[in-house]
Order: sequence, then C-alpha cells, then structure tokens
Amino acid sequence: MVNLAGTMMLEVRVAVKDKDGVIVKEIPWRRSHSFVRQFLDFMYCAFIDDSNVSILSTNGEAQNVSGPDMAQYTFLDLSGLANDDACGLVVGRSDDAEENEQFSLGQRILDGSGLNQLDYGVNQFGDSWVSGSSVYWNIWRVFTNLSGATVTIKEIALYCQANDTTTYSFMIARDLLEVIITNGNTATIEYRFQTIV
Amino acid sequence: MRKELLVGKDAAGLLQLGVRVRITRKDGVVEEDPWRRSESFTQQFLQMMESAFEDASKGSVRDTINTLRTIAGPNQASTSWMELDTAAADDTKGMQVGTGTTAPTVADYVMEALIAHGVGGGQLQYGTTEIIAPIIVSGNVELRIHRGFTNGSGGPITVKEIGLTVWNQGTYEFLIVRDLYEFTIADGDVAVVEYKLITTT
Repeated sequence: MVNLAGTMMLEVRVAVKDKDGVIVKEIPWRRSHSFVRQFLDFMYCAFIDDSNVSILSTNGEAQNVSGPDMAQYTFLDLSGLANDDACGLVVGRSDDAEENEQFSLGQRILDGSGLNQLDYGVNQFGDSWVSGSSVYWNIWRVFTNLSGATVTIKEIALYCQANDTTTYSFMIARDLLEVIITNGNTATIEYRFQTIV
Repeated sequence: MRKELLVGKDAAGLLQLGVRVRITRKDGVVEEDPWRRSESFTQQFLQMMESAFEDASKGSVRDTINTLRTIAGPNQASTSWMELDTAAADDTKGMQVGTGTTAPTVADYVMEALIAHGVGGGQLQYGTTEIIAPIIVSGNVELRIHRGFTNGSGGPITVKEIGLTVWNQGTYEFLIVRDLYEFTIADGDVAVVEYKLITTT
C-alpha cells in the first residue's frame, strides 16, 4: 500500500440504475488517471493573478485567461446546469489513452435524446469536509439515456469554464472508464478530491 | 520522516507537491537538497478550490489570524482569489519560513512561529515569491514556486517550518501548505526554498 500523505488524489465512482432506481452496476472508488496540463495552467494563473495566461481550450485553440484579479471573471467553474454538456462532468466515447497534454475528450457525448446522446443532469456538489487527516470535496452528475438504444461511455472528464469576453471550456482531468447505459437507465458519475496529510 | 516523491504508476492521477532547499554560501558554494514530498495541504486549500469549482463564495474558511471568513470565489473576488506571488520584504504572505516544530495537520491555519523579515536577531530578508509557468518535465507537468531568504542578521538562523500563504480579496490571508523542513542559514548566506506542484498521467 503506497503512502499518499502530502498529495491530492482525484477518485471516481459510478452507479448505474434502472428505471425503478435499482442499482444494476457499480464501479467503486478508484483513482483517477488524471489531471491534465490545463489544471496546473489554471493554478498558475490564480497564483500570479495576472491577465492573459494562454491556456488550451477544448476547441484546441489557446485562449488568454485572466486571473480573478482582473475583472471578476468566471474561472475554474464546474457548476454547469442541466443540459450543459460543456461544463462540469462530461462523458465521451473515445478510448484513447490518457495523456498530460490532452485538451478535450476524444469523442464527447452530447446532451440530448438522439442516437448516442445522453441527457445531462445538473452538476451537484456538497461542502468540503474533514475526516481524519483528509479533506474531501465531491462533484457528481446524473446521465440519463433517453436515446432508445444502449449508450456506452468510455471516457469521462472535468470541463471547467472561464471567460474574458467569451466563455470557453477547458479540460482539467480525463479518465478512461467504461459504463454501459441501456435505454431508460441512468448513470451517476462522481469525482472526489481528497487531500491527505 | 522525509517522504520521497512518488513516481510512475504510484504517482499517476495524483497532485503532488515537492519541496527542496538550495543554499548559496558567501564563498559561492551551492548546496542543494534532493526533492522531497511536501507533508500537507491544509483544509483551506480545498476550500478555496471549492469556491472556484462551485463559482460561489465559501463560508467558514479560517484565516491566518484564526478568524472564520467568507471567501470570494474567482467570479466574486474584486481584487484576488488565491494569489501567491508576493513582493520582497512582505512576510505576511507568499512563501514563509518559521521555527515551529509541531507536526503539520489539515487544521493548521498559520505558521507556528514565523520568522519575520528584517536584519535583526532571528530575522531573514524575504525576496519575492515567484511562480514559474507550468512545463513538461519527464512526462509530468510541473508548476514551480520559489523564494529567496537572505540572512543579514549577524548570526546563523535555523529554519524548521515552511509554508505557503495566499490571499483573497486583497485582505485576508490563508495558509494552504505547511511543512516541517530544517536547515540552517549562516550569516551572509542565501537559502532558496522551492516548491513544485506535479501532476502525472
């Protein structure tokens, strides 16, 4: 067992439920793989609190992000509402391996009820809390399959948003994780941040 | 006990914080420690991240004078959210050093015994806290932070704790990292303390 003291770990778990709310499949907590470069780009921007830090957005173009000091802009925001498939927890169908410099999902699943689409619920989170020598914060989202056929998730990610004059999405974490959702079922996907002393 | 940085599969998916000290002596000789793993992010670190992720203010965050504050999220902060870069001579924030020896916990909110800026007995001259843009190093992403401490006090000074303190709304200071790390700076010598945030796929 590796001693993880002094780190911040990102973990993920999944619960798939049928139309009656019965759990039909669970993936217990497992370590995420992983934060990508843009996460530390945002930390850099916050620490220096200056304007025009160039960060690669999910459309593959570098955008100038301003630190919070510049004009009270949205910054590292994961609080996407229902049907917003560009902010918070997002899912996709690519099984490309995780890499440091990825800037988007390989093949994002869009919000909707069409073929290979999922209905995105609101991103939800609770207050951070302390347990023993760790601090935790969770974010979760429910994805409902209304497409009429099975949808298979193969990748999940955290997309944050930031704006200057325009709002852009930025991927800060990505994981390979297969979740099969038959028509009418839901999948609740949850990420957990944990700092460990 | 000193912890090594995790590598390879053990490091995948983690945010690690490494720390080391480099001392430049009066005669120009440089002594540098190897990287070691930082011991602790405090509760305030994740509370501040929470305020950004939720795009909202966050209550009950303990500042360095032991008062619970409501911090502004990035979209509410009119002057700063989690700012760390700090001017020379400012010992109230940025990277700090002290003489405390109590083991770090998530509940730490202030340096135990801060070494003040100055040239008097037991004081060190604080340089600027500088942050270097992230780079890819050996398959990891690294973000480095460093500050120089010059001993002009006339006698040796032994540092026993180091930490990172950010400020929010330009007013309140919050300790986000604290470590025990002992090293001695002789009179006239300069110590550069360096942290690095590391992510590994």
